[in-house]
Amino acid sequence: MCSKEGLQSKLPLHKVLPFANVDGIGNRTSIFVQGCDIRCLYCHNPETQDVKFKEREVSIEDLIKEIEPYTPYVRGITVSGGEPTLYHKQLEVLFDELHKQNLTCYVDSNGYFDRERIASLIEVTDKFLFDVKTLDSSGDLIGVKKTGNLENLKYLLKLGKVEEVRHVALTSFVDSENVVRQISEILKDYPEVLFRIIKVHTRGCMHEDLIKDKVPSNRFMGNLGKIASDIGVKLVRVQL
Amino acid sequence: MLSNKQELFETATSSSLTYQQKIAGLANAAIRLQDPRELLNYSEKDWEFIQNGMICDLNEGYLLHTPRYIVPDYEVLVEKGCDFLDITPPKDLDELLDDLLMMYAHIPSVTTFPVYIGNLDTLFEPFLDGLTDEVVYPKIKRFLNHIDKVFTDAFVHADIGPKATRAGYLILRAVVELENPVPNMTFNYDEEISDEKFALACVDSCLRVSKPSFSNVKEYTKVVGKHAIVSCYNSLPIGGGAYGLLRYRLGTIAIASKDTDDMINNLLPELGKSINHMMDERIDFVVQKSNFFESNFLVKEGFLSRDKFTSMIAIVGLADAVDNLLQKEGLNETFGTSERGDEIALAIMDKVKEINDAHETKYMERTNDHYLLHAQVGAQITPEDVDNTPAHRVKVGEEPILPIHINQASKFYKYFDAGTGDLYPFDQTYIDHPDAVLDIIKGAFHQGTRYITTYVENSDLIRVTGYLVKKSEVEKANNDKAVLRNTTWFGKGSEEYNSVFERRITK
Repeated sequence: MCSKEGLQSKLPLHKVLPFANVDGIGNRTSIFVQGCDIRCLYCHNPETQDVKFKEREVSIEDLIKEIEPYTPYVRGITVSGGEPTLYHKQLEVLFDELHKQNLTCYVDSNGYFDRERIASLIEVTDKFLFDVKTLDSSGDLIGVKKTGNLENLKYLLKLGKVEEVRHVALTSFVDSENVVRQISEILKDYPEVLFRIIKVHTRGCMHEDLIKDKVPSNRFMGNLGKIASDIGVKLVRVQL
Repeated sequence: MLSNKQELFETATSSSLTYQQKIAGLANAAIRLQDPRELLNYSEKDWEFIQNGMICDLNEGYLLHTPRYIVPDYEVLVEKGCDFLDITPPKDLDELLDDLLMMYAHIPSVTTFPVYIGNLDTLFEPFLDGLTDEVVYPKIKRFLNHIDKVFTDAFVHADIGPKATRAGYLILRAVVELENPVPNMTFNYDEEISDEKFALACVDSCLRVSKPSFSNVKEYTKVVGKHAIVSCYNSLPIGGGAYGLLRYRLGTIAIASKDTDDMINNLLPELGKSINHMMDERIDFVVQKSNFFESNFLVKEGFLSRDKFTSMIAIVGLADAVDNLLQKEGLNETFGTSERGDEIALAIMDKVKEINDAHETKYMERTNDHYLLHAQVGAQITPEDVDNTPAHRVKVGEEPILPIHINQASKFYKYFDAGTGDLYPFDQTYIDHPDAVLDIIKGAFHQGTRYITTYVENSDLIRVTGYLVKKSEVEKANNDKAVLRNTTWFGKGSEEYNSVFERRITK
């Protein structure tokens, strides 16, 4: 895609958060895209799921202008969603432009992407925030049958492109203990990567009724943290 | 304002002032008994501008005996001791801390408390050799707590930095543990010299207990040379200070202006003549008649020297002035989010600067024969301050989102070589992310900001305008109970008039 044409390409946008302190190290501008390829029971931004619904469509050029007042105060941007990799072509253009301003570009992904297809986005992404939802292919938790996320995680880790791995823990719909074990076995060789284990929250989520009695106890969460540490993960953070 | 017997009587019999506050109040009233038109050659016009509130002299009085801001060079104490106090150069940390406390009690000030107590970490560090943290820490903590309880005024200001030192870390630890409003504190930050880890520790402390604030030391060194941050956030020469401060109340001036052009091209030049004349006369009196520079031991022993003094012309209420003029231009916009508003504000400041640049004056060799401009805060309990928001700040409740706010505020720092600053509260989540706040501070400095401070909502210790107050103490004062710290009274006024406790939180 040539640059000029690329700058005019449109991105379905949910919202822009000028300053965010949780989407990677330091202060960052968060860009939430509209549209997701999975349907997590606990999704906190269900309004961002629908690919067809377009609250706002902006060209990459306009998006860059929109965030310009914020960029002196941030290290970079984090694209979240929704699932950002659905828009790999547009984001490639965005990241190329922002790199010229010395801003780092992160992607917050569920990891179910085709890495051949988004190879050029991976190349221009500084770091991924990688959310491992589940490791089974049943679709119980994420509403669709998907696999391949763990292989993608390994691939990105080898490239040195992962800043943190996340898992949202529940007592049902996903075997959180197994997920934590498998991730930890991988992360023990990457001491610089943070593993964040988060207790599911029901407020404002899509299927509160299904989730509300599947919230892990603090002891359960503490145990998950211990499992990760015992396996040898250096940076573990448990969020209650 | 002139004083009278009634004011003396009311001060002496007040039920809500401590002994020290009464003594200071009576002394202040005494130097306002004589009319400055006789004592200081004020013209009728000068006096009119004080009377109608367009120029504010902060009730500093007229029978001036001492410069207003004293910024001693405490390194002299370390090198030579002090003859007047019969102190020999300190040999160890205990002696140094004692000697400093003794010195502080003899530093003149309008508040009776020193507005500058030294660059503490660099003063302490050479005395830490061979001592463990366990030994040093309680001494530093006791020293800082002593200051809070004896020098009970939040304009008492300490500096730290720019280099990271062991003393610096221990000071921060004590400051966080003590949660005292006094001393006010500034970290002289230089991205190239200050260690990142130390800068993050300063942010962490600032989020927890609202200090230290961050000063762009490189920028201020460019314009003021060797300086300290004192009182609220005045950047003044070390070994000297400032003779005094007079301020334009821009909000009040705008009320009296027909329109923007009238304010800028008629009123401000006329007021400029008066403000400069009054300042000249006040300095003449201090230098020629008060005998301060002939008699005070600080001067005789080299802690201060006359040729290191400057003086400040300040502004307050830029937001109110602009809002008023926007209204007169038929625009329903407010300062902080109005493009035309910024144009007006910059035109006002250009004029204030032009007037100051055109005035060469005596006894001002340290700052090239010119006064330094300052953006004043320190709200007072007078009705006129309702119409005058601190400095060039956006009114509480009218702030744009943080990045836009910093961009807007950054345009004005360049005028105020003697200091200005803004404060931005953050929500609780930033406590875990000092790196994010440091990114914002760095960005702000790159954008032209020279001084920035912050705090986290819901803390008891918060920064009101330039100094710290405890919310719980303000509540006491509001119930007319005696409180330890003078500045609580200013905080009280500020809360009532500017609802600063409700400043927009960054989410």
